[in-house]
Amino acid sequence: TKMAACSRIGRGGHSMDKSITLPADEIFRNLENAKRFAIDIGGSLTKLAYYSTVQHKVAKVRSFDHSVKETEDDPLYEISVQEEITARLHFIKFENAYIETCLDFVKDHLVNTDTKVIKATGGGAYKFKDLIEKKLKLKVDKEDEMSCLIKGCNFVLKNIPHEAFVYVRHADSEFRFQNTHPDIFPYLLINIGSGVSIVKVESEDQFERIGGSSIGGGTFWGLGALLTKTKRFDELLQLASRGQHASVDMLVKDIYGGAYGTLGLTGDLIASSFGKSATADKGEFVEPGLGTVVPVLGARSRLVRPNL
Amino acid sequence: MKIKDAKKPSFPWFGMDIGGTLVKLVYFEPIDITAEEEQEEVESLKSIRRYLTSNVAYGSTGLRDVHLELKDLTLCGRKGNLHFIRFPTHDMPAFLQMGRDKHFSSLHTMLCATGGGAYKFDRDFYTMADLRLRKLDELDCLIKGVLYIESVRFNGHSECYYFENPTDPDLCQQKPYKLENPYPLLLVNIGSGVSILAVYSKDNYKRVTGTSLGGGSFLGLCCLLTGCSTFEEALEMASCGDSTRVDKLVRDIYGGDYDKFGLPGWAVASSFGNMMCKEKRESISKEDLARATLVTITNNIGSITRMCALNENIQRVVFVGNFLRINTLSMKLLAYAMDYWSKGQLKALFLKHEGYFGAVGALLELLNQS
Repeated sequence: TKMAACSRIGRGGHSMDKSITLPADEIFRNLENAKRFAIDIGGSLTKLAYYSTVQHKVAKVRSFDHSVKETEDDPLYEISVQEEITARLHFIKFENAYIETCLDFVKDHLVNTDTKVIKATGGGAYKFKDLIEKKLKLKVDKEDEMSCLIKGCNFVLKNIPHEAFVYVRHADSEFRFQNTHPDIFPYLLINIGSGVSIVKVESEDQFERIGGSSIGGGTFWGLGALLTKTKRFDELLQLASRGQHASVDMLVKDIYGGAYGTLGLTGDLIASSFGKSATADKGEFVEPGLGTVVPVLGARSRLVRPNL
Repeated sequence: MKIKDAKKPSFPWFGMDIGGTLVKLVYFEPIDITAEEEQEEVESLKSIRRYLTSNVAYGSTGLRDVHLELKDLTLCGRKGNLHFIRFPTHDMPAFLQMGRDKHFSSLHTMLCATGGGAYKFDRDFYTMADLRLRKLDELDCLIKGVLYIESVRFNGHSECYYFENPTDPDLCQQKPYKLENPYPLLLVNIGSGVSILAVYSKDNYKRVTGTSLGGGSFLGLCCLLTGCSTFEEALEMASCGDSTRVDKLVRDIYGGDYDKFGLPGWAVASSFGNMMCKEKRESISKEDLARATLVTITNNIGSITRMCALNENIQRVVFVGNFLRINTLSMKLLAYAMDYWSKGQLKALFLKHEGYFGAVGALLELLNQS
């Protein structure tokens, strides 16, 4: 399978693909031949995945055994052009605000398909069921978001090489892509969307939501929009990557003058997020929010681990 | 002639906890001074005692919490009142200046101090006020302080309390709680940041974890979002706001409850999650933002606490720290959250002296080591 439109951190790729604003028409490739449709309507974003076929010409070269050449005129090789049909999995995401527009677009281009059903998950599958059925003239089959999430993860972990990766800070090669593994259970799955769910996955169909947090991507986006002049998610991320959090957060060294040795807390750790903001200059403010969201999640994951 | 007990340290008796945002000072005022002792008393000592006990405000930011004063306490064979004083860590230089002006060093070359500031300001104490600090670990002092205050009781009343019916404004009541057989206990200290300790006996405890989203975050974020500048202002605003207009709730995503995982529609799915939307940003007030900040910080602490309690298999949780000072909103939220999400298994407890336990622990160390 090939990814037609997806965003990957650290790799090149179309800036168009990374956007979550109203998708341009070109994003929806091969829509006419879409065979299966699935939609995940979360708290802030709608994710669409569809399976379609691509028809293309493939040049095939056949070379002949020259030792048994009968005449001078016999060809050395033969090129034939064949029609091939390959399957592709497409991924698209956009803000919920654009859902009606996108549904209309999808409806207009769904011409070569026998699809009668669309699988839907996420909270929006319940909230927008009628809208989808009306716009796409397809029946909406609701599936639980956690089950879908687990199925999806299990599928890619087992079948797609270099889908999973480990991030090593300051290393030569920061992103270490993993090969597929037949034995993936048990694993802890942390889904960071608008909010966060922490799920313990024990087998193909055995899983348990063991915790979560309301401090997630939505918090970063919401706080970022409130605290800075930037309102778009991608731009906020860019802003965060350039920000210096130490002028906003109170670090251990701000309280101790150095590390808190007995507890092994280094001086650079954040003791109190936004702890310096009460007295900070309220001028140009650069977003440190990402630094807040990430440690909270790290702490949570560690807490639930002992039970695994 | 009165035989001086060689083991007792000389007056004044102080315990200090220099935190990220506030300095907490406890002062033991002796009330059993004999005429003879008074005659021998050095002028600077008398002056300090008078200054501290006849004022409730010091400089422009120092305050004495009179309602917390422990009267007729017997400490190390002496009878006296224990006073609780606080000022912003930001004003340390002014405090050191005062220490120098009042010739504190001539009385006492050793001062027991805990908190990060005991390390950070160590040198300043010496160079600016000629004082040497005996540095003590903040968690050791916290535990010792809690156990001590709980044992002496608060002027005959219970130090420990809980909330009955925390979410019902008409039926909610503060009730005393007898902290007998306190172990094991989960102690959650909410200062600028948060530390969560599992206490198994008076000498056996461990720091389970912490979070950087604490009182400092509440104040900092509130100041940035609403333009307020003090903790009191931030709380005032929060008490009038509606956080559900700022936060994205489960029902905003599902249209109702998310039954499969027992998440009620009113639960917050994404804090500040509605703020990515322009219309919503323009329709909310500063008070709503302050409330949302309070709720986010409080619920996060409650959630992490619950996970710790589960992991450590402890059912009683005591919340302390100055984030809870005059903050009934957070206390009730914590009380409710602990009860609801644990289906009644966990109990949230609170202590009247909130953020002063570290300083008390430091004072006890002063009296211990001599």
